Amino acid sequence: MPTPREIKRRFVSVKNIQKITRAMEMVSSVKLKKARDQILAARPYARKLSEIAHHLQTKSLASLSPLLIARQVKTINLVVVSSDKGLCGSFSANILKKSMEFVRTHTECKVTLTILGKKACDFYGRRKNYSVINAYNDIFFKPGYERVSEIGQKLLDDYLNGAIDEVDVIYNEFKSAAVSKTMVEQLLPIKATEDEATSKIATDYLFEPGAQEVLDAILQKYFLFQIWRVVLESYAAEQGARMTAMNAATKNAGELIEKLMLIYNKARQGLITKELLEVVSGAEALK
Amino acid sequence: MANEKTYLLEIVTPQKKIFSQQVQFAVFPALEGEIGVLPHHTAFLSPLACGKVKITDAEGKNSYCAVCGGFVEVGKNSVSLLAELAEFASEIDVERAKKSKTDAESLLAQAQSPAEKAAARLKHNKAITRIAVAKQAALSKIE
Repeated sequence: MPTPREIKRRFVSVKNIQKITRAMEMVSSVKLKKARDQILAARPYARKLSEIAHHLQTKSLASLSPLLIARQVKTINLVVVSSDKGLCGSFSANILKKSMEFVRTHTECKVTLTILGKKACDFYGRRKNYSVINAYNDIFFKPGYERVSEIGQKLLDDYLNGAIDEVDVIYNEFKSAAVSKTMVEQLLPIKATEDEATSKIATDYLFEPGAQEVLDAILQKYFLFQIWRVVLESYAAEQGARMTAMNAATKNAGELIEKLMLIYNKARQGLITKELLEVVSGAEALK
Repeated sequence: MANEKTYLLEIVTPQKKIFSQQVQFAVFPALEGEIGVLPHHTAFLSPLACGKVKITDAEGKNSYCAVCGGFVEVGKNSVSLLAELAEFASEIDVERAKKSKTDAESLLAQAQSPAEKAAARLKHNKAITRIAVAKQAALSKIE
């Protein structure tokens, strides 16, 4: 039986941990709100962009741009979006598991990796049998559009000069604070979507300088924006996952504290009883 | 409808929507020169260069905005400006822009690869645009 003092020490340390997890929960709930605002702020741009992209696709310009034409796939670049920090449950583990599965199942072509987030950087840094092209371990500290579009631009250049034939992305999509979904999406070549509703309202645009140039420019912007969206989604999902994980940790710590409290009281009572017995039996012996 | 003298102008960036109002007239820096758009313009699509946007709002007041990258879509009596960067004259920090101009100049001098040069030139362009827009706005206030 541990002494009451030992139990007390454990009790205090659990309580301190609980304080930390509670604080972290609150911090990530604030960050989650910010991330959500950013997603909302990006929505008008996203809506406009996809409206225009739809217009253009329905105007049978599709064959004009290399970004829309699927070619024979020899090399796939997989963008793995994880987090910079841990303590967010299975957030990064899911991504890593899915990405390894992706590499395993695509044996017919070469798979190269572009990595976002420190967790995945560390993970693939230890495994030398994957070909990592680019790794970024500091973008989630303060996600900004310019930095992210640089990453996208590199992928775009590689795609246009033929070094890669397809770009896919693995990330956690933000559903709600507690729920996120691991998604695998193809970003390049851009998949043409046949949408009846948008084709009806398609407008005849004048293009300047020319249809080809405009289409190229817009599709490139579209791709860069997709990457930005993925980063935002993932960032929000990370904060949500951390909030949930920390909430659970706080709850568990609470349960542990209750249990320890019970054991502590029992031990304390036991000690008092023991001392009393000693006193009584001592007095008895003196008679 | 035909007597409408204004149209809806929206300026959005990936970070946020910065402008959405009825305006009388606006001039944009399209890739091949400036384009002025009045109400009932024909549908039109063009990439944007770095430059200033001049907006004449419903009351006839002028305001200026620096934009860089992206494109302009002129639709049915509405215009959308999808810019990578857009700042109104009132938000521009001239001191910072001047500093970034000199930074960009030294970068341009040091740049080795074409990619570095292009990046430095873009930075330089952005800085120049910001300064020009701020100046223009200051001038129009004096008038």
